[in-house]
Amino acid sequence: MLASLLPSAASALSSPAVGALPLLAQQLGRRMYHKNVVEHYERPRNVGSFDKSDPDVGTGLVGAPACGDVMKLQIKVDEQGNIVDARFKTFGCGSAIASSSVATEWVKGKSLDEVLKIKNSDIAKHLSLPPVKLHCSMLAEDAIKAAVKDIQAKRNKSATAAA
Amino acid sequence: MSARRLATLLPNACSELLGGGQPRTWSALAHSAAALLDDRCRPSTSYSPVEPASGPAVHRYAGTVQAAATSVSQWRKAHTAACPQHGPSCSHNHPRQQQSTADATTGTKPAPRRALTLEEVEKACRGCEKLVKRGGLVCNGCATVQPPDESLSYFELFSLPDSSFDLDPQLLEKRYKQLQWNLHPDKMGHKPAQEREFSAQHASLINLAYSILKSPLSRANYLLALKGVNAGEAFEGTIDDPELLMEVLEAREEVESTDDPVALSQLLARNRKQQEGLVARLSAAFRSGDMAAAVSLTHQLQYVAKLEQEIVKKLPQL
Repeated sequence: MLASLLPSAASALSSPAVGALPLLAQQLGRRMYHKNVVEHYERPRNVGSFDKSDPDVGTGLVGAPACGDVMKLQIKVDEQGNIVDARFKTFGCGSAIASSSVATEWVKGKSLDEVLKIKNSDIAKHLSLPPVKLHCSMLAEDAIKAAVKDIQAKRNKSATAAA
Repeated sequence: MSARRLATLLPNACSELLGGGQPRTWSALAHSAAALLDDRCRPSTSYSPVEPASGPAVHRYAGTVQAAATSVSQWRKAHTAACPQHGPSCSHNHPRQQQSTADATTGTKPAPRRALTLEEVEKACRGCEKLVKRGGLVCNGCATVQPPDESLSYFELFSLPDSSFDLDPQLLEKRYKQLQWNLHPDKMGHKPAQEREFSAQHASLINLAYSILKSPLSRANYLLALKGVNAGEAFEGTIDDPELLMEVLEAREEVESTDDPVALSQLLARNRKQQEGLVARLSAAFRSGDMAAAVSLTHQLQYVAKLEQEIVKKLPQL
């Protein structure tokens, strides 16, 4: 319902200021989810799981005790260290789901070193998260880091085992 | 009452006491007059006047005056006896003797209506200037509603015996009702606007404190915050405890996968039992002062409580 409301508002507005509320929202006097958030919430990309025991899969499992959210982010990495695919599963608010969905989109095609540079502020900016939801983007960043750590640990283990 | 007022009120008594002579000091007069008063005049607040540490203690309100030289007959004897230095015609107006007499009778100066210190001014009741105890909500003397005190912890607000995780829910409820009975804004219709405002602030703070102390999870979070431990609700970071998170994930997936009310109610019952177990362990952890365990258990309880909310949301009617 929200999504049907927003596109019309978004097309109707022509506000030059960054971060300004759509005209309709201003008139109604209420805050609405950014269209990116709604997009990722209603049509989430990359929901699902990989096999955890797969040697090419790194799993990041993080939680935010303050709100009881939990986020699982998995990456499939090839031999050169590039991420070829990603999946996520998040139990939490719309902002948390959108943040992890964005994270899975952004990590695809990047190398392990590159994805470590993804900051929560980038995700928050892309989704126009309000201050109270910034910890959701933090959760996504931590999930990426945890997944990278996991795959590196797996690779090191197999390297030392082979050696 | 100051010594002066006492003197005006009891002129006959004074002249009788003094045997025709002039009063040495007002304080001496006050003591003699106080000796005449009985114990009717006692303050009703918990404030006890500052007592002079050394020398004979003299309570302004107490009927008795302690110290050897201050009983009326003794005083009279001391002052009408022949002066050792100047013989019987002397009027005993010796500065030194006066001072020593004064010291003997009072020790230090008594505490009549001295100026309140700055700290005490803040705590003095606006209506009657009696000192209100910290955390006092209504003045004992004049029943004026006092401004809310931010420094009180919720445990102190409800006068609970100690700030621990274990509390008697019935006692909490009793105290809550007592407080609201006295302070509720509905009972303040006849009071001035300022007091009604204070009463409204008090009432909302008490409601908030009650709801926080009532639920074990929020009580645990509050206790952790009181002790300055950065965890629980205040902790905005992320955790990566794999066991706990895996469990939570699986539980949430389980709830997500089913819509059958019977299965959901079973899950709910199991969840509530889990919460009870966690609360018991939390209580033990707080009692033994094991903060690390308390933090970990609080996190677990947070997740389990969130899961309960999700199940309840899915159940068609509850």
